[in-house]
Amino acid sequence: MDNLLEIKDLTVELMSTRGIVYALSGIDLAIRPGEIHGVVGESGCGKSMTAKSILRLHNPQRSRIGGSILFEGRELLSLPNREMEKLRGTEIAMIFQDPMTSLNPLMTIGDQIADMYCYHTGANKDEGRARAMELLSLVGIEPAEKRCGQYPFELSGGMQQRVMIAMAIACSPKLLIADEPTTALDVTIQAQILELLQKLSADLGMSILLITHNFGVVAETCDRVSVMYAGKVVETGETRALLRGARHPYSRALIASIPGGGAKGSRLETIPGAPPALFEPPLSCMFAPRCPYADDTCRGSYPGMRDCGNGHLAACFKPLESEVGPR
Amino acid sequence: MSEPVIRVENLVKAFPVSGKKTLHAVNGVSLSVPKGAIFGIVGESGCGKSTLGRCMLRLETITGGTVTFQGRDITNLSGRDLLPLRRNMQMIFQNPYGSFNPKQKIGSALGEVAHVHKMPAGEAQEKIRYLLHQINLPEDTLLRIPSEMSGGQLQRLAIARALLLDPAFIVADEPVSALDVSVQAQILNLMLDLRETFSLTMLFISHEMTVVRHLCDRVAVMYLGNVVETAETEELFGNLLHPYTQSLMSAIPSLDPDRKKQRIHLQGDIPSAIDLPPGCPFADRCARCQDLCRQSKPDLRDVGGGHMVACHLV
Repeated sequence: MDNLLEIKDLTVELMSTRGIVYALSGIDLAIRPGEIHGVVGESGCGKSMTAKSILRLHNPQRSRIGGSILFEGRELLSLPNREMEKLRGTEIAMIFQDPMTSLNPLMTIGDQIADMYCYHTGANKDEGRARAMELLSLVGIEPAEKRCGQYPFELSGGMQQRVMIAMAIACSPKLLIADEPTTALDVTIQAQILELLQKLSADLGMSILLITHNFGVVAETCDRVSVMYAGKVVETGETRALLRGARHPYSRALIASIPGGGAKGSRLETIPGAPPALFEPPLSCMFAPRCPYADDTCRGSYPGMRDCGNGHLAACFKPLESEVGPR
Repeated sequence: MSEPVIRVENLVKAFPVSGKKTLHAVNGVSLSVPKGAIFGIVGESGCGKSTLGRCMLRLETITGGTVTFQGRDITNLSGRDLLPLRRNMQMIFQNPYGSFNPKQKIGSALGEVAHVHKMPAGEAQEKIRYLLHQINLPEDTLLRIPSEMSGGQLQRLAIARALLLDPAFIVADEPVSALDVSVQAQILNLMLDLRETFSLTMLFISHEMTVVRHLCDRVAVMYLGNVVETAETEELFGNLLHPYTQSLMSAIPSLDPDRKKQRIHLQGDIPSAIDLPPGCPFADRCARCQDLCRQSKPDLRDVGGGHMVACHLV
């Protein structure tokens, strides 16, 4: 199967006042057409950095990017700025965690959607307004005629996120990057938004890169998932296979630390230590200092992504046995 | 069961808002926390859970009802009369970076608490060392400032600060919500340990059902300023009775990809707490709503074994 997006050995180094931050150190990620691909990890592991790199949203003066990002066979990293600008919003769109700060508070939501649609397609105002109405009903904001004239502050957080989604899908992008789209929302609203994203992906044949820190969200929505740690992808696989039997010790430990599995008052699994600061280029397995299975090989060199069967990849010299058991 | 450490009866907290309207943040809540228990409050944003916690600590003035702490009515105490109480009730906040002075060394921040409450300096130093040991942080932590600490470490220190004066009651307002899941696990384990060591009595406020289920002895579910269901943790999660609790549980994404559960769809958003309708607060979003629900507000009543539900249909 041809991949829609293929990230190969992507590195991002950022200049900070304390030196170079190795934000991403060689990640591989492939997104298939029409799939919902989850990226999970803890704060600072590089999830959002990956998303920003795909759209080339880094300040070029303060960052150094290497590797390759192929989108439908086109190399995004060497695309001229003008081309890249055309691509953003039309072929790859993005939604963010906090819809309130992403919307213009002084413009009605109908105008905002129409504006963006007209800018990208060259449509006139009437066409823009018609498309805005169509999109609003598509994302479940009814009645669209009335809602069109409302301002962001008149809408709840869940409704605002729906507006953001409407705007993102206005030009029928092939890839939607959703960066923690439900983190700021309550669970009942989160369930609504996730369902909407799944429906849109299926109806429009759109791939979604869903960035989240919540494994529950992944389990409910994603076809495949990649786990990130300290600027690397450490494991990629089918959602079910990975949740049931993670092969990388970090993924396994992370999943085990979620409350809900054990009895009330039982001790939760924890991971000793803390993630490394990313000021030094990684030469060994980044998880080795915290890993109970690490030996000299792990501390001395970096394990590349290895196939553990069925397209399940893990960056570990000694991947754990997959155990399929109830959790 | 022994005399509860803190008890609230029919607590009402209303805030005036523009247009001469009133926002009923807490609307007639009664509950009591027995000694040594962790009482969980869950609910979505805006349901009044934080306001309830703040009212119990008397960080807010009370509009109606009573708060009884260690057998004493503290509903209308003010100013100077509250100070001796503060020593006995502490709070842990969601964001540890926001609850420490960024320019103040940790040691000084902890020492200040002891100083305000007139704890002798020598005793305070000893207590701080002991607590650092309990929360697994080295002693040189005291010389650091908050920006040198990770979120998890700082939250441990916030817990130590709350324990410094041996309070009889602690309100923890979303103490693990800002933390990553592996750090969250560390903090929850720490709380379980400290609970043994210090026999903590705590009100634990959270929007995460799984966390509450793991830690708390008893849980109350709030919706729009009301407790809609409360029971012992096992009983509540094993036997969800209120339609809101049921839909809240079913909305939580499950870790098991095979468990395709019956999701109960909740339409719309939480209504505004301004100008509440006369009936059941949940009526507008409830799939089983009937005429009776819109006309009269159901009382919280015992359906057996201390499991209390506010619903006409249960």
